[in-house]
Amino acid sequence: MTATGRAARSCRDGAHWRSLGLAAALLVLLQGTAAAQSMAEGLPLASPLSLWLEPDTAPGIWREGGNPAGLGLAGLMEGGRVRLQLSQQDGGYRRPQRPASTAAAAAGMDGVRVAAGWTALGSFTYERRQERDVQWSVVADPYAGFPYVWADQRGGDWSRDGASLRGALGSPLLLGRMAVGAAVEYDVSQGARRSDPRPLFRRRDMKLSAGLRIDAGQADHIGVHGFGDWSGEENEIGYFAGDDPVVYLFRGYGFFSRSTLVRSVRSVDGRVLGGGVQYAHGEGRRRWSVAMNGFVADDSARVNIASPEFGGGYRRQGLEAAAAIRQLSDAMSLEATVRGASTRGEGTDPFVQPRAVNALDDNAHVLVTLAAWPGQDRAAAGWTSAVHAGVAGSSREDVFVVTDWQVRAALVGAMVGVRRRVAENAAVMLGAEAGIRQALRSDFQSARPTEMTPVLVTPDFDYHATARREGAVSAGGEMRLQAGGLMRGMMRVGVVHAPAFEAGSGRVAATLKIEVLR
Amino acid sequence: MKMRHLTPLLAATLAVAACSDSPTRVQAFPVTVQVEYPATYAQPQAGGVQVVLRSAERGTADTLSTLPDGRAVFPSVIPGRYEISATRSLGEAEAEQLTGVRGTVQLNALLPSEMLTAEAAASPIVLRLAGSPLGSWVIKEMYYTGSRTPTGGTYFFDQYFEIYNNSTDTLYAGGLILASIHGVSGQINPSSTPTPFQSDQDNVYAEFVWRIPGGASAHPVPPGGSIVIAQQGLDHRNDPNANPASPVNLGNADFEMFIDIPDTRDVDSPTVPNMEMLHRRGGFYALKPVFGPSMVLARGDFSSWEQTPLPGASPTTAPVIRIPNTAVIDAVEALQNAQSGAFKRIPAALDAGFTFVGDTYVGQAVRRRTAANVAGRRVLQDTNNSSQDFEVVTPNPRGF
Repeated sequence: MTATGRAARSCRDGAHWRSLGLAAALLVLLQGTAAAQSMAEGLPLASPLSLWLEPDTAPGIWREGGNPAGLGLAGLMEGGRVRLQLSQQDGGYRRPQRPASTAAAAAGMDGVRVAAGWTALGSFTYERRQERDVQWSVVADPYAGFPYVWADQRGGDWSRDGASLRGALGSPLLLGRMAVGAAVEYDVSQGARRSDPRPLFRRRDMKLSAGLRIDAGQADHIGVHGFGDWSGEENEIGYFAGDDPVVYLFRGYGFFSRSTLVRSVRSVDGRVLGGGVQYAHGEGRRRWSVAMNGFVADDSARVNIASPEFGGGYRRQGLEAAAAIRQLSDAMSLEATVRGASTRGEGTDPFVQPRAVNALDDNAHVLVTLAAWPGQDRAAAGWTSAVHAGVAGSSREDVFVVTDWQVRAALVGAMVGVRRRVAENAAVMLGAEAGIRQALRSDFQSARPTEMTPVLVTPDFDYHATARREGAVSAGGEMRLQAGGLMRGMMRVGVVHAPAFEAGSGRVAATLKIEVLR
Repeated sequence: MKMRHLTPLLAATLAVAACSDSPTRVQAFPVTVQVEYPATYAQPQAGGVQVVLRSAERGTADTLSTLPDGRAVFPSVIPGRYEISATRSLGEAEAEQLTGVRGTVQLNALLPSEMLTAEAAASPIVLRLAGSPLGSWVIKEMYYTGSRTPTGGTYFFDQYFEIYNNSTDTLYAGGLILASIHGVSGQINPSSTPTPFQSDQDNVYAEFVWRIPGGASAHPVPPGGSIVIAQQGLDHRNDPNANPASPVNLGNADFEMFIDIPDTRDVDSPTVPNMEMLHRRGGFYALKPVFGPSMVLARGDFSSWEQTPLPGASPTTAPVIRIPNTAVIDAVEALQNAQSGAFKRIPAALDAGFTFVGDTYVGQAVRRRTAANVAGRRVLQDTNNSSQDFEVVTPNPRGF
């Protein structure tokens, strides 16, 4: 299922065709589509309580494909809420450029409005995050894919702020058989480190999508949509430093350059263009849908202000597919989903002439989930459960330093949650999750290691290849307020245990959510 | 289902879009470094040289030794900026084979910041080794006997000394000191006695001290080049005031030893620059003993050399200058004849023997023998023994 492997990294040898073909075949075979889901950093476990906390949407071209023209069929309920979330993560089991600990506080609001057949939803979130002991990174996210990132060897603690704005609008049926929709997502964030050379970043990201839905009949819906994503990130380093920093430019997976800079600035502009097709069928108590999205993304960095120079490029292509079927029953309802994605990235080195690719990455996964709950209304169910199983693969290659690794892993997990009314206006919820991830195959070779290889590359490979177990428990409650509305809260504590990981065997994450709904 | 048709089509479209203008992969490339000995060495190809390729961007270094043909091939070099250095230590035997001069030398070459790309590396990168010179200045030829005039008179203004760059590199003659050493050349008179400083084997004692003008970087002389220092810079054969029977034309000498005192016969040649006279005890003009002078080439701070009175001489007698052996670059002892060894004035450490012509005003000179020809450069014999190193010849300034 995966496009990993050394032989799968060249268009010329046709391997990429195989990669995309595999994804396409997967889609046809499984009749599925899926939204993208990164499984590189953790199991796709979600708190069972979130099934009660988040709006339940039925399978359809909105949920599986992200086409806003399908909003009107998603079964969204009108309402609004205000949210507050506190979270904390600590532990040695982490990727080498991730913080040792993260404390975050987020507040936001969101709501759904349905009027005259139009469905609108929107949300706003502000997050403040403190990260401790971030090493080898002075950018917003060194693992976002773009391989040509700055770093320094001092590390330190970061403070970050971010705001997100989401909006989507779906039309009623127009001309008797079609609907349109549009969505916008806008994120801004900034962060700065407290230690010299005082790096900082600013990032903004805007995604627009627009779609069309055609109803072939009462039960059959066909969707198509397109989307674009424009992002920009500025990095500055040294402007507020007491001395001149040694700045590393990573140019792959182990390959790097370094130089002493007084101060410097650079920007990375990204663009994603993609589209998708969806099909949904809903008749009686059974609904199912399939969707597939594809995209091509380009990131390009520029360094210096007065005379900008090319600072590296990154091209990524991906296919995402998902399929879901929900069968409602008075006794027990069932839902099965399949999600898969395959992405491939190529980094164009900033200094080699003529321009050529040095860094390559592949990521692919497929995940099958089976869920069950009593009755037809999942949001009101007294219990819910799910099991999932999947396979994920990742590979990285650095041509110059002849470094190449690949991991293929299997993962399984299960979760269960119960909800009991304890008073006329109050209920409690308890949940538990457990899962394991085990490498089926892992290979690492580095014929020309650099000093960065044991610092960044090998630990990241180990992170992916090490077997791990995860578990979490959740507890929450809800209470109807006298003034109207509903107050809900949830506390979740999760543990990851990877005994063979050298840098640290565990990681603990705790999350507290409180929200008020009207 | 329509999806069955759409899906492969979309996948194919994306794949074509992804690959159509995708750049090729980076490629490491071989870099050939060709290391050569200095041009004055017997062969250009420098084998056994340690070549280091150090990335300026990462600090990593690869090291190879050159093959006998002087090449070192780094098979897989990543484009970028590099420091390329080469190092070779030559032992005495190797140095003598390559330069004709026995000694040890450390040869180095450095390209401090070389941008290596596949295009730049298409042809070999040439590194020319350099090091401290092997060999140095030597006194090549001394013409001190003088000549006879057509009427049988004696003529000594045509004396000259030729110093020679016997090293592997360009040397600079500025500041070089030529001194004649105190003492008689042999049993010239019944009362002649050897120099009173003969027991001091660590210094030489100079009567005349001359210095080539200019700083340490003045008057470059290539390997195998020479400088002629005349007593008088005249064409002695054609000057109406000179000697038509003289064997030499010194009108094109590099320097002359002009003594700026009232004397009608010491001519200041307008075409030949003057040496700096640092010390003179007396005597006629800049005359050196026609029986055989002892000459040294030296470098050093003249003001730090001690003025030493002659033992037993009156306080008014001009002193001699004590020059330590360590300041002496080359020394040649010329005595009156083969029986004059007892009159040696130069310590054995500087010159273990002596040379001689055996007669005066005979128009003959002593010249250092040739030891080898290396890459077109004549290497003169310098065993620090003038008995072996010199031969009597007809004067021929800059004859080679």
